[in-house]
Order: sequence, then C-alpha cells, then structure tokens
Amino acid sequence: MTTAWVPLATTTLSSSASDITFSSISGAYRDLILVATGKSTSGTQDQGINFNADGTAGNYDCVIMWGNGSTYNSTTSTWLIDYYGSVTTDNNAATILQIMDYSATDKHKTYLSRSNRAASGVDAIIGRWNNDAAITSIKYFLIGGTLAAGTTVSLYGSNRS
Amino acid sequence: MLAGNDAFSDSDEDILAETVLTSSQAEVTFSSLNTLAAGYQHLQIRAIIRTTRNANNSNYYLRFNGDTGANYAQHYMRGNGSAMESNNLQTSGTEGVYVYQGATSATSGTGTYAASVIDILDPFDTNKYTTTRILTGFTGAINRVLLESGLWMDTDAITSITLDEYYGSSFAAGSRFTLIGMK
Repeated sequence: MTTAWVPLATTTLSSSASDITFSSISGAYRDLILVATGKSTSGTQDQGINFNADGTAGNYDCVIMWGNGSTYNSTTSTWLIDYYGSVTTDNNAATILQIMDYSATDKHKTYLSRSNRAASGVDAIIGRWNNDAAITSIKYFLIGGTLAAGTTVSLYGSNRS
Repeated sequence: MLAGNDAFSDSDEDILAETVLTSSQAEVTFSSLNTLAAGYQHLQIRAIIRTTRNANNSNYYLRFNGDTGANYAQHYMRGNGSAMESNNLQTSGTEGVYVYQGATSATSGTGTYAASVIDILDPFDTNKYTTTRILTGFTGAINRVLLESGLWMDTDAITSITLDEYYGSSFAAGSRFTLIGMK
C-alpha cells in the first residue's frame, strides 16, 4: 500500500517576511496540500497565492462563498485564498489549500481552499491558475501586509498509486 | 516482507486505487472494497474531472454497491460568484449521491477541470447509514463552489463505489480519480 501523504516542507517565521516561498517542488506527487496559520504584523490581511512566480493577477480566478455569522454571499476574485478567514496579528486563522494535479501539463491548475477565522467567518473557495505548466514553486503572501514571526506554512504531497 | 506480500506500511492514510483516464469513459468503479479497504475506517475520493457533455458544467453521482433503490438523500450549499443558495437536492433518489456541478464540460473553457474532495464516513459500519461530505467546484465559463452532504440509507458495508456522469455523457481524458483509505 502506498502512503497517501508525504510532508515536504514546513516554514515557521522567526522574524517578519514579505512571503514564504517553496521552490524546486518535485513533480513526483499527484496533489499538494498547503496548510497555513498566518499572522500579520499589522491589521487584518487577506492571504494570496502565486505559482511559478507568476505575479499577474489576471492569470488567476476564484469563486468564493462565505458566511460571517449574520450574513453570507458569494463573490469572485483573483489569487485570494480566504475572505473572512483572513489573518490578523494572532494565529487564530487556518487555511488549507488543496492543489489538484499540480504537475500535470495538460490542464489549468485548480485548487480548493477552506479558510476559517472563528472570530469573523468561514469560507470555501475554488481557484484556478490559467496555465498548463507544472507547478514548481508556490509563494504564500499577504495581499496588503507583511507576514509576522510565528507564521507557519506546511506543504504536503500525495503519492501516486 | 515475505515474498508475495505488500511491504508493511504504518501510514494512517494510504492510496488504495487510482484511475487516470487516457480516453473518455462512461463510468469509473472502485470494487472489492471489502478486501481492498479492509482495516480502514473512512474513505476519501479526490477527483479532477471534465466531461464530454456539450455544456459548461456537469454532475456525476456516487452509487454504492450498485444500489438503485430509493436510498439516497442530500443537501447542498452553493456560491456562483454573485449569490449563494441552498437546496434539498433529493430525499429518496435512486441513482446515487450526486456530486452536483462537480465537473466541467466541453464548453467550460480550454484546460478547465473541476476539483472534488469527497469524504465517505464509516462506510463499513453496519450499524449506521453511510454519510458523505463533498467540497467541489470550478471556475471558467461559469463559476461554482459547493459544499454538499450525502446519505446512503443502507447499513450494508460498502463493497463498491461507481462514479457515473449524470447526463449520459462520459468522463473526458485527463480526468483522475484517487481513492484513499483512512484508519
């Protein structure tokens, strides 16, 4: 039997940083899972993701549904991976991103995100990077801020059968 | 390891089976789960799916043990990028637990596939019905994100799972289905 999940890397920041990037990701796996407990140096900030250093927002799209305890709705965006699951100066938000068939070269890359922040709300997101290239690097960042010390991001790969 | 036996694995989550389509196919079945999944408590199907249907999305269903009795029920919650809704999808369906809007199709846009993560909880416990939890969706010609519940109202242990395109079309080449067992 083949073990499903392999831990590939974990980074915990000891000082503030603009992003956490995992590079030279092997194509040996089927899917990737990224688990983030982010923390900002100031205020409430949304989390974003870039693949292969592609920083063009128009190459990403996502659909979001969210609830905040009193209302709910759906919207669209680009490289966002949270909505009410955004991070603040504590570690009370958690985001799990599932990146499917990340090493395939015959399809755009689709990812599912579930993010929560108990004090503000809960989100489910489907995103797509409009590119057939295999993903070899992932950049995790805050869209309007800086990651604080204590931010932890882990990356796992799922084996092929 | 004794000759002829699998290597020992102390993993709590293992890949039990995987199907990657190189040509279109009407359905995919994971069978002999009484032996293949022996010793596991829960199952997860991870899928990335496009169908040959001439539309911008499609559905598929999960049929357990080939059961076509009126034994399936479920609800869903959906976002389309501008609004949310929730519905009772079926209370006594006969074809399976739907993965409603869990697939892209021929006019969804080049390279677009829907992703699904489907948890099947306690499928071998003969004291309870089998429940499912589904997160699925896609972006493209239209946008969908869905959380879906599912219930198979039968206490039999699951021995097979068939995934079948809802409209009679096929799963397209490039679609992939992975079955994971969780202890």
